[in-house]
Amino acid sequence: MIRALATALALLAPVAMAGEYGAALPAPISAETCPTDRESWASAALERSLTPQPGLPPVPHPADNPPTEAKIELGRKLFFDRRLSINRTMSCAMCHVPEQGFANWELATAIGVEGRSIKRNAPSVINVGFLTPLFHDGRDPALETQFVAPLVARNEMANPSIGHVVAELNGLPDYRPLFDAAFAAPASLDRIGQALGAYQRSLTLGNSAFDRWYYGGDETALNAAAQRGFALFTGKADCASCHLIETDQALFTDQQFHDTGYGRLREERRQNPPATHPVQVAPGVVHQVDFSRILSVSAPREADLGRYEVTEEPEDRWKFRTPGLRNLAVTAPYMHDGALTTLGDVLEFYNIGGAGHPDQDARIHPLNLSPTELADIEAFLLALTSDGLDCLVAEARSHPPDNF
Amino acid sequence: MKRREFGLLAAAAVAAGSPFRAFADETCQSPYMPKITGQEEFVYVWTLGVEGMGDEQDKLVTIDLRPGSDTRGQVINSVSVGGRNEAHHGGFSADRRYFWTGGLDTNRIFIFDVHSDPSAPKLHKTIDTFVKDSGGVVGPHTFFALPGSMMITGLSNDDDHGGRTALVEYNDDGDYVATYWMPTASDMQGAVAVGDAVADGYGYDIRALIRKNVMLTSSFTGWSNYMMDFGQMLQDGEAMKRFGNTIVQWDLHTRQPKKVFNVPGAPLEIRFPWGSNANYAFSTTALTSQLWLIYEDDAGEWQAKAVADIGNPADIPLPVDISIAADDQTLWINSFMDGKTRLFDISDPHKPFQIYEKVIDRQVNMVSQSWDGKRVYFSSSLLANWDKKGEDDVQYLKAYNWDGKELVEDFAVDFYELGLGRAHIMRFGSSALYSS
Amino acid sequence: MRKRYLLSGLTAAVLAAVLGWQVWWPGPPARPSPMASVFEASDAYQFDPPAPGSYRLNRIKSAPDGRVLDVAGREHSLHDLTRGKISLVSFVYLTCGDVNGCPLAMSVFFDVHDASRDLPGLKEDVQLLTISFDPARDTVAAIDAFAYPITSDEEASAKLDWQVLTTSGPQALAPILDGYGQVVDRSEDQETISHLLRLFLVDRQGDIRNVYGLGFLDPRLLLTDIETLLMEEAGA
Repeated sequence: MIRALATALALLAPVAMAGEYGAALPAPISAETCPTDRESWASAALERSLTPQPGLPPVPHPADNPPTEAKIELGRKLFFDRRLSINRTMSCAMCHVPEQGFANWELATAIGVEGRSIKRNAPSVINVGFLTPLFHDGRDPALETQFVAPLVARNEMANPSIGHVVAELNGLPDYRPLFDAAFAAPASLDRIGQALGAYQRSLTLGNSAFDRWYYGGDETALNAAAQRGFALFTGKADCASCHLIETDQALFTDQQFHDTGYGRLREERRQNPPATHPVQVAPGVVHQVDFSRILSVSAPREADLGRYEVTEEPEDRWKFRTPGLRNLAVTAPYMHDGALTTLGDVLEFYNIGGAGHPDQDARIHPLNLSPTELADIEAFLLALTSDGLDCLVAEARSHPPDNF
Repeated sequence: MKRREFGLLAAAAVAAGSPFRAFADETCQSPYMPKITGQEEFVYVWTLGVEGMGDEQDKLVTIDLRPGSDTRGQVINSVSVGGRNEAHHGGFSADRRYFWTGGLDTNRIFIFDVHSDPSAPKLHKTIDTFVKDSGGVVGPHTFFALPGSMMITGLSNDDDHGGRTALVEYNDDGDYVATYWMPTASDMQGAVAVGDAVADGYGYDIRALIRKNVMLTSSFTGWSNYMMDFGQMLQDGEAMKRFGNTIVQWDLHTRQPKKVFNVPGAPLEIRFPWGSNANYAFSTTALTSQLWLIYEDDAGEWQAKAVADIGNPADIPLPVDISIAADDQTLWINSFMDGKTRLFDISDPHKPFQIYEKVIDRQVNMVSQSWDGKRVYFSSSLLANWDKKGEDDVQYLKAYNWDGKELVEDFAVDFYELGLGRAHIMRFGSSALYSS
Repeated sequence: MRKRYLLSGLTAAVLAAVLGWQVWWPGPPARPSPMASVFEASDAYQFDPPAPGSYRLNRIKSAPDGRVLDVAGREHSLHDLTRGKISLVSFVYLTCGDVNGCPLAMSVFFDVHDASRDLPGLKEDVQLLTISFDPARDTVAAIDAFAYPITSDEEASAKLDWQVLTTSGPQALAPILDGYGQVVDRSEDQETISHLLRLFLVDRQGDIRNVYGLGFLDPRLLLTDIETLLMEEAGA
């Protein structure tokens, strides 16, 4: 156990956290391959959110919030509007960046108004319509209510109150026709939530190579390595016991909370930092920096106890929700705090048995997978990338972000 | 005949290379601008508001530098602008009547009237629409005066708060004119990448050598990084990959990029010398701690090369502001982490070497010197969330005399004790500039 | 030196002959291309001008209107004078002794004016305007005398129109200086008038398209910008 912990720490500290030195940065997802226009994009988005896609169940639209083009158009505008933060600098999309898989490739943990720190990684909102509850700690059950917290959180968009946001929207002339079209009524808390919900449920994509192979019966859709990876994923590695694959669809999550050992490992590192830390100062140039120097320019970081912060049940310490794995190739970095840069780092963490804490989920144990087997699983995970990401970006960018 | 007289006079003037009106002052301004010859009378300090301190707002602080004045070395004026905007850099308009200052966070630009009463600048105009005007540029940084307009470098953008950005031009009335996006590997705009340079599209500083029609820009990082806690960023492997590694050479007249140089590790300030035959510029890289020379070679091609280390790069001293002497012989280089200023002999620009160093305080950022080089001023703040924490977070303006051998402190103003905030860029003022 | 004068005299004679031909020659003779090639490079400007039309000139702002007086004392609206042609506009005062001020502005204008002989037809599209910012001393009589080398130029008909203008006084002048952004500081004894040398390129619609300061008063650059505007007008 001790050795496993040491290995995990070693894995996290010098190599994984600073990433692949000198590697070329990934290219953002381009919208160029999906021609769209300012007027008609929402009908495609609506159709997508109403039509079951290969490998996915139907989108669970709430009975009192059926999607419409008008709601989707309004929701998109709200999602990208930088005016909806106290000092006009943050929108939802500043952390959930379309070209970066509606996540943020450039930050392990998110940054809010005035540069304030958020302790967790901004998760992708692609396929968020299937998730309940929401957030890494599951603190909100629905998209219709979830949006309030980021709008008023001091370290996110920092509005003084949610009523202030409603009043602000009713004062912006460009919103009036959109609320009228969607609801025949002015902005209200409920209507903002419904519009944001409708837009985000349109960010739904199945139809990956895996879907075409597993559910579509196309034998050629998945290469041999990925097929071997699938066998390991559902067999020896047992990933699928949490990242579920059903007979007719797969969300790759059980929507439950688990202690993989990772959360506690990270919290222990926060409280007991290492003597030095590798810092990349230029491509291929890394210095081991004395941690005291880093501390001299560091504000205290918040502790993160995971699900416990919602339930205050001792058994929920260090638990985080199982993330879905679709499109994870475009949502690095990984884990709830973004400290793992590559899929290889994540697989290595699980292969050595997680952090080796005594209380961690029993399914996290040393897997003894060979490098070839790890590569096969990675090939499988890379086959979970959907067709149509370009169109999500094109629709998102059908209008420029709103600024004063 | 008049024409020939004019021609002779003009030729003599151009040959002498003397700027219009032989004023002179701190040496890092736009060459288009009138300068203070003798004694600077005031220093304007663009200051970041701090939560829980004073009125918490960003402000332009004026300190009296007039010899013999009863208030010399004291704050004699302070204008609060509302909010914390990440006050950072500023620059005078080409006629030096207005001081443009930027907020890197909120993208607001505050234009102060410094000519009506140079001892008490007044807020003349606020531009609130920079992001919308420019088509998505975030983080107005350097304000570089051109005849009739102000060229502003951006640091980020409103799509992702990353480092891809642009130059933005406004006219002297504060109306938007044009946006010039930095070249990127996927859209070089006709520019050529030199050697293994990869155009990253990042921005920071801008300077020009008019005689050569050369404009240079450097590259820092996007909003997410410059706004976040410095210590957190150093531990964020993803964030540390998002720093600029380029200097771009532009055609000043056409505003078109020509060459992209590989200058790894966030090249920041750019300084051209004043000499009429000096065809080079210096820059320092913040993360890799090197002094770089951007120069025209014998074949007339511009090149970039590292010419010296600044301290021990492995310690990440973080060189920040630099100031070149009017005679082009020496260069002050501040480094933030060790709080030091270093003086480099740059008489041979290809072989600079350090000749002096002194710890100014626990942190130091900006440096400005008088035209004669005898007075050197330092200020403390780098960025609100990059400044040191706790006891090390000292905030000041310090004035020194330089006798060629030693910096001797003249006076210091403690910006925290006075409830002002974090002291950033310093610019000099003088009533002698305005005769009416 | 003498040889050069002789040569330029010859050039002038040849040119006069060419112009004489124009009376019956169908179509205008070709202009040198690029137009800036009529000038030789000077040491002060150590770069080649860009290719005309290879870049875009911004619309910096609208040039202001105002009431001005010509050398005959006639009053004009400045807009009436600037609209319809591309104008190079400079501000001077006649007693100016700053070598990097008015004399330089005048010298550059003389360069462009002289060279325009070699640019047939350009005068249909381009003109020069020099405006005094010292109306008290630069009276109509004063600017008339000052403009004598221009108005008495025998080749004037082959060159760009060049108007020297003044105003009736500070009230008429102020909106013009403000509008162009030409800053002027008068010393207390009123003897010297400090100003930043500025030259303005105004397009046919009355928008300021470039502002030149010291360092960019290269006549090659001025002609390149003018040619770029002409290409823009032609839809190139």
